[in-house]
Amino acid sequence: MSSLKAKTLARLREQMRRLEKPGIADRPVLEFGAPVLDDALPGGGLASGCLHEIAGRPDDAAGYGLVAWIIGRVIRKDGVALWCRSRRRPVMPYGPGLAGFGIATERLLFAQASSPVDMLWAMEEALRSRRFAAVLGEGTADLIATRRLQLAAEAGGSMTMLLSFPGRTARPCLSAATTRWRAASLPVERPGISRWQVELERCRGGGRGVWALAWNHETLHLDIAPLLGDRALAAL
Amino acid sequence: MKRYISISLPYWATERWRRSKPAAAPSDRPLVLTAPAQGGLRLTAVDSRAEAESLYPGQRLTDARALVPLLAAAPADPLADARALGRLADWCSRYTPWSATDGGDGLVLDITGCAHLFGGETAMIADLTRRLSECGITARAAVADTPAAAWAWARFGNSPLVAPGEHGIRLAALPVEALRVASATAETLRRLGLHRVGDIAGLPRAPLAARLGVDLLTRLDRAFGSESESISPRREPARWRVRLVFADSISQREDLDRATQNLIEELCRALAADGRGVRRLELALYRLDGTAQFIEIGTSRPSRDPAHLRRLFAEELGTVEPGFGIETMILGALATDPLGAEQMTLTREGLRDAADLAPVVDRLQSRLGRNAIVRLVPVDSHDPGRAVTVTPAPGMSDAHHWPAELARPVQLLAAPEAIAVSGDPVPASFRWRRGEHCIARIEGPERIAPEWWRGNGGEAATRDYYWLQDTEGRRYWVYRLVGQPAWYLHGLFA
Repeated sequence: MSSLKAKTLARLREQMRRLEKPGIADRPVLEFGAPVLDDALPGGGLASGCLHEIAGRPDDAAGYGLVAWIIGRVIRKDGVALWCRSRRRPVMPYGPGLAGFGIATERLLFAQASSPVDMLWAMEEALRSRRFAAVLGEGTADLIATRRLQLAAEAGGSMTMLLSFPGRTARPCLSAATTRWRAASLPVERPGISRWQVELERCRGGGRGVWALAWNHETLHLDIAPLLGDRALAAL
Repeated sequence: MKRYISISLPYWATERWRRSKPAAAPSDRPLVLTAPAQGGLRLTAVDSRAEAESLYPGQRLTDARALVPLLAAAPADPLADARALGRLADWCSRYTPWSATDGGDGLVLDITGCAHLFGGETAMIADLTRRLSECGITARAAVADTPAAAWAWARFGNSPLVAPGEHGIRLAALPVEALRVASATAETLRRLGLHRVGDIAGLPRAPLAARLGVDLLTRLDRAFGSESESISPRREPARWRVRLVFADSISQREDLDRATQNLIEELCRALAADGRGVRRLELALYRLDGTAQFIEIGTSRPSRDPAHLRRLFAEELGTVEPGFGIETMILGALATDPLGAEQMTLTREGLRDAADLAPVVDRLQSRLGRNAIVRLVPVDSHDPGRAVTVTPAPGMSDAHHWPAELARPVQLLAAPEAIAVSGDPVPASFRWRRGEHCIARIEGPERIAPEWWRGNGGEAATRDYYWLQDTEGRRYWVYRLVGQPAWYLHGLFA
């Protein structure tokens, strides 16, 4: 593709996005810090004011690590994050581990809901209050619920995430989220490093791809490399 | 000067039964309630028609039927009667916060300083009895200086009002039963020729107590006010109260919202004048049918921001059942804290953040429950289970310092789970939650001893923690008690 064609395409895409959702294109984005990943996302990073769905597995903490890194980056300077979760889940986020991802835990609040409906309500309420820089929900949501969350996120402007643990074989249900990710752990050489395979399964106005993200807990540095997963290979 | 209203409900049980089953109770036939007793069913309560036919509680049902063949009879339910009486007492808090039940068929209200709101004591009693009779409740009420005198006058008097200071003279003319003594005592008094309260009042006290018991003297003193009697209200009385009475009852949600807003604004003005902010608020809604509904909300920090308080009520107002309509609403501040005017405009960064967050935190907690918003706070402990505490702290706090020397999992199980590890001496694989994990890499151990000052287990409770990575790259934090074969999974690394 010639560079002229590419430029024209990019300009047209940009125009369409502005027509589709006025105001969204101007939202601040969170850059991962590597063009290889950021270029796949519209606006050059993870947009705030949009719903991002992250799927993981219940026996794998890679999804937790990814959202911890995102929250840590969003509230790094100021702002407060709200993490909505079910009171009954047997697994809890662990303070020392979260701090290892650079989260200032004094600015992270947890909302403990007793039902999934209450959890979604708390997320929406928090988004519409515009008081939180990031709002995360732990649980699943159907098409209507994700659409509500997406609208609330657009109204509130917070970085909005939904962390779900669908079964290994379950088909992902329909979702109105702007992006959908899947995270799984990758082997590392020693403790003190977290490494995940992060797949962008779907992105409105963006691309797809698979990357390996490695977080060093000592140097607090995120290393990103493209990865050719099975899905990416199949798409080529 | 204290003033009390006593309300006598002579046909409470039968009228409550009629109110609860409007279809089942033919209004033109006498109604009695019965309960099994010695010798068959006996009457426990009669209505006004049955009373006019000379039926009385304690009579056998068969005898009553012989006298009045058309009699309607139903089983008595004393517990439901008592509960309904409690609800009626709640409803009476529209007149005064100090309302309580009094026996099984009466209410007592402390109306000190309240009567002027209703146009004086006579008008207040007229309003009270009218509203009750509109709900089908026969009530006789009287106001006097002591609860006991009001009780006597409501049941044996001939007018609703005993003027301040007059209760002594008025009581003297009443029969001895007006003292609320046991029926055996009253009978003894009558046999002694003492028929009126005035006959006893002047008698020497010691012989009276010796013959008839101390209770009689207590009753006498309470009636005349030489011994004080306090009533304990069913609900916490609020120090700051504002009320709104509607000429026409309301039931629409928009009207409720508007009324609530007016009440909140008025209350906030009163609180501002006293330099206080609310911590707990109660909104009472009084329905036309003689019941009341109460909504309580709490705030995480003192507030008198009307918009914020209104939002806290918004959720609960949806659950209000107006019935035939709501005629009065009262908003009371149950708990308040000092809140100076200067605190409304804080400039220090952290505190402004906290004040910004308080509204949304309150709103979330109003639905999710008190203490539903928490924060993880480090504790200076090397026991991993104790290194974090969950505190309900909606405001801002200082920066947290977590011990950073060692890698810690990002997820911790609420309780460590036993895993089946195979391979000896080096573990090769383990099963956890029906999943098989082949171990690819293992690092450790990190020995964590229990905190000896807690005295739980000593050496035996020392744990060796390992960092495990399975062949798919998932990382776990597992431990083994020193000298024991069992393994436990405690956390997941990201």
